[in-house]
Amino acid sequence: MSAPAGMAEAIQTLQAHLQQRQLQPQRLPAQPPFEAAPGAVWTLRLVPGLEGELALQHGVDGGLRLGYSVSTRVPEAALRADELNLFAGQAGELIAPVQLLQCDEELACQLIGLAGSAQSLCELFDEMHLMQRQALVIGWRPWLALARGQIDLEEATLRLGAALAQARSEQGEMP
Amino acid sequence: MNAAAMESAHAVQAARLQQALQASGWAWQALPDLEAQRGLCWRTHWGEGAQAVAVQGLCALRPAWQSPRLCSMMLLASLDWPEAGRWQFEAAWLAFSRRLALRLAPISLQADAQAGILHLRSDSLLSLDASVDLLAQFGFLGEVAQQVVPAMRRLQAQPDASSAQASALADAAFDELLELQP
Repeated sequence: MSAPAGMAEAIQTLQAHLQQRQLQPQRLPAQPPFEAAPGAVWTLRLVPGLEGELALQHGVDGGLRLGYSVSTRVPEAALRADELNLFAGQAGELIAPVQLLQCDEELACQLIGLAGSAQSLCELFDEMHLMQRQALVIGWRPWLALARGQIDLEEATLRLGAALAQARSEQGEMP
Repeated sequence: MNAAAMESAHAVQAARLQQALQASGWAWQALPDLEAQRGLCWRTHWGEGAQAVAVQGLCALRPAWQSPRLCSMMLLASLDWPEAGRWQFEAAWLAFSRRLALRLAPISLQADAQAGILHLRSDSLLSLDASVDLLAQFGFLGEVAQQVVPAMRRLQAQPDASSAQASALADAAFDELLELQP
């Protein structure tokens, strides 16, 4: 196992990278349970009008663990928890390694990445950013519409399939 | 194989996993290459004596979209669960599994109804230089299973359990798991 990657260097490098990409990063004060652990949390612009949250910590193997999530509160979500869970399980297969997660009224779209150095962290972030943007269209939007009661489960599943087909044709190849 | 391919993250991480499997003494084999995917699977046991459970492990590594120096990893631990078919779409089970996914992310639970199997699955993105002990991560899935399976049995013993009760059971299993961590 390698020595823990330098956190201070990683924070500085990633911060500069986020600024260079003009993603409007805002570093947040550490919140429990992470306040005692070395790391950093930022908000940034995932797409116009929607922010994502990026959390950098040490991973269990001594490397760098980057969590990228987007979340929102939907008061009606608790009413449709069973349908949302079913959709999240199905969509999770298709948009992996991104996952859809629900906690009461809060819905989240989350992705975890692991890097061994500050240099590879930026490359890792770029891929995670692309994956999150893809997952937003494929899984997140129909899930949110389902949570808000705008569409039913069948329609959400149809939209998931259509968005996936569209993404595959645009990408040419998609893992 | 050319030099660029040798340096791709999924090839490097697969080679590391293969070395670890060779050292483990477990029965393992490489999966056929599929659209540049590298995969290995193996068999082992969790637990001791009569409590031991046969487990199939699988790790699939795929090149990332933009950079060959990154790969997506799916690590899967699969164990027999004959009740999977009955439970797969039950509201209580869905609430239980999604609640655990929230607490344990990136680990999630999946029921394979046709095969009667429970999968514990971990999805993440890795850089080429990420020093990831994949067998240790697989071992952690084992620790998770040892907390989750008894909780699932408690859930199955309550056929009328609500989604809220199922979520509470998942929380309790997660909290017990945390207490066991050093």
